[in-house]
Amino acid sequence: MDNLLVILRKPPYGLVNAAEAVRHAGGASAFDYTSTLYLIDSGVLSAKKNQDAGDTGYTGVGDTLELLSDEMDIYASRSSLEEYGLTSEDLVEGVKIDDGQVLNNSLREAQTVMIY
Amino acid sequence: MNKTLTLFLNTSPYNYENSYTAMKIAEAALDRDIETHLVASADGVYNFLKGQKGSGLPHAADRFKELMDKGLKVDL
Amino acid sequence: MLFLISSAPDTKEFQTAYKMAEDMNAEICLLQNAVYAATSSDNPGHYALRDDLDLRGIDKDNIRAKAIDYSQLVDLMTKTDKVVGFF
Repeated sequence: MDNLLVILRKPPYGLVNAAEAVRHAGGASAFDYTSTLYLIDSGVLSAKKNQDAGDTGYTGVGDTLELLSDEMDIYASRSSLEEYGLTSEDLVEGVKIDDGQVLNNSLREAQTVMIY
Repeated sequence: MNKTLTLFLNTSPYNYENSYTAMKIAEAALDRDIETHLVASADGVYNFLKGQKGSGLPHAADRFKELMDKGLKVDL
Repeated sequence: MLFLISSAPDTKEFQTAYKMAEDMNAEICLLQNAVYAATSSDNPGHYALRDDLDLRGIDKDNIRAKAIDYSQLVDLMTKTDKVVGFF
């Protein structure tokens, strides 16, 4: 089965990176790819719970990640979370925390790596 | 099996150097008869907008058009 | 595995990508503003893109990485099992 790794290293709003990363990772998953979304650096802020997009027109990235986690693996880098003072309790449901091993394995196994 | 190279471009043409890098890699690959694709996503699609009037740096649409004429396959 | 790193050496992007590449025992090619690292002893990479060194006036005799042109880069990209970039 085709295997896609999407790495998001930018914050959830103000840039198009998070929306595109989620769109591609989610889209690939819907087409039966094995798809992994990996959050690193300020990308981990996308997994913070209680994001309220309100009527801004943005799609709430946290809620989207929670929904997507039912059908694909989503990981956040532990060292990046620590840099931003976040723990597992600050994250939406379904996002797993990685010490680096998952990232290494995913880089090795993915057929395609997309970086946002 | 013939080699294929696929480049992925997701940044706008004049705020980053990625367009130029992608052009030069694509050019070198096409010169060696490697089937070369470019997938543009997010702001990368602006590289292919008609009517750009940039100067002082590589012109994205014109340069990519030249490469497409040489065989570069582009998907937006 | 080949990592293409394009961000300037003082950025988070560069540092994350460089560490990731080292963790994977990957080869590293520096391009764009990342070529400024080629003169350093810390993160000199294995290859640096000659055009981007020339554009920035960096002396190719003064770098630890091997200076390569686009054709050689295409060689590396098509021979390795996987390319990860641009960071």
